[in-house]
Amino acid sequence: MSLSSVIRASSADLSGLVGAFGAVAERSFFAFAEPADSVASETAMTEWLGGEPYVATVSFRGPRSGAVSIVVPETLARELTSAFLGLDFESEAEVEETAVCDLVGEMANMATGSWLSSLEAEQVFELAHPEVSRAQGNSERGPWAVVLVNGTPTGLCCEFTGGRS
Amino acid sequence: MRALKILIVDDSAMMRALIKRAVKLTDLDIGELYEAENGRRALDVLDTRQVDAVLTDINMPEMNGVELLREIVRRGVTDLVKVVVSTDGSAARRDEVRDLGVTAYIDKPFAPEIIRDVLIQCHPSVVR
Repeated sequence: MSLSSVIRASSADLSGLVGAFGAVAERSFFAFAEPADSVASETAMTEWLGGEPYVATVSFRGPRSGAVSIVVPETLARELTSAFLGLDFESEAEVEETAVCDLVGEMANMATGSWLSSLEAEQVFELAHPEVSRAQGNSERGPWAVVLVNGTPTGLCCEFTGGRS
Repeated sequence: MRALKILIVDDSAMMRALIKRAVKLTDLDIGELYEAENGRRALDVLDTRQVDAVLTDINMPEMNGVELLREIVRRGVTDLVKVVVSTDGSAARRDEVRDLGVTAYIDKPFAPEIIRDVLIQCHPSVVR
């Protein structure tokens, strides 16, 4: 039997994470971010489960341990990377896969670090390097908070492992 | 005053590009911009180039930012402005790096003008 248990994030935790992610999207990636309503969220889940979005996960250890994941649809990930690199997204110029993965991973890294700092300002958290993959949505994880980034649904999820140390 | 030579240390190429862009957007007297993807590579640059300021991330593989700053202190380098640019904005981390001679701590995400303000604060003569 495993001694560690997974504890799903509370709505307050998710709300804080959404705020941190929105600040990252707007300040560092020059995108417009706003929380999605329930209809958009349900639609997003359906699209993610049927598609192959970018999923970036950042594990963290500290007074609370766990992992944050973000789900970014391919079109949005490439659009943000193109804009960041100063390319014309409508052009034929192909954005390198490594650049897209780097951008999605850094979004997750910044959102996680920023959120944890606001959560426990006096404590130090150790963040692992972001793991980025192309994966089908996982309906067993969650709950997911959905944020519209430039109008496209983007997912956020956090799970804690064990209790507070 | 010669132009300020800056070393940007971050494992994310995107983040290095973002910081570089923010530095170039300033109207300050900026010289060479060097890049390194971790603390180990940063030490290689410091061994071979004259650098006035290092802007470093904390969370990096191989050698992280705190280990880099400790090594700089251990080598007795004193004429280098040290700035942290990190997602880890905890008070404990700030205290830890302050003891290593860090003069400014920039939280990610940051507004581009913060980079300008910090460079002026650390090196007032950089203003043209």
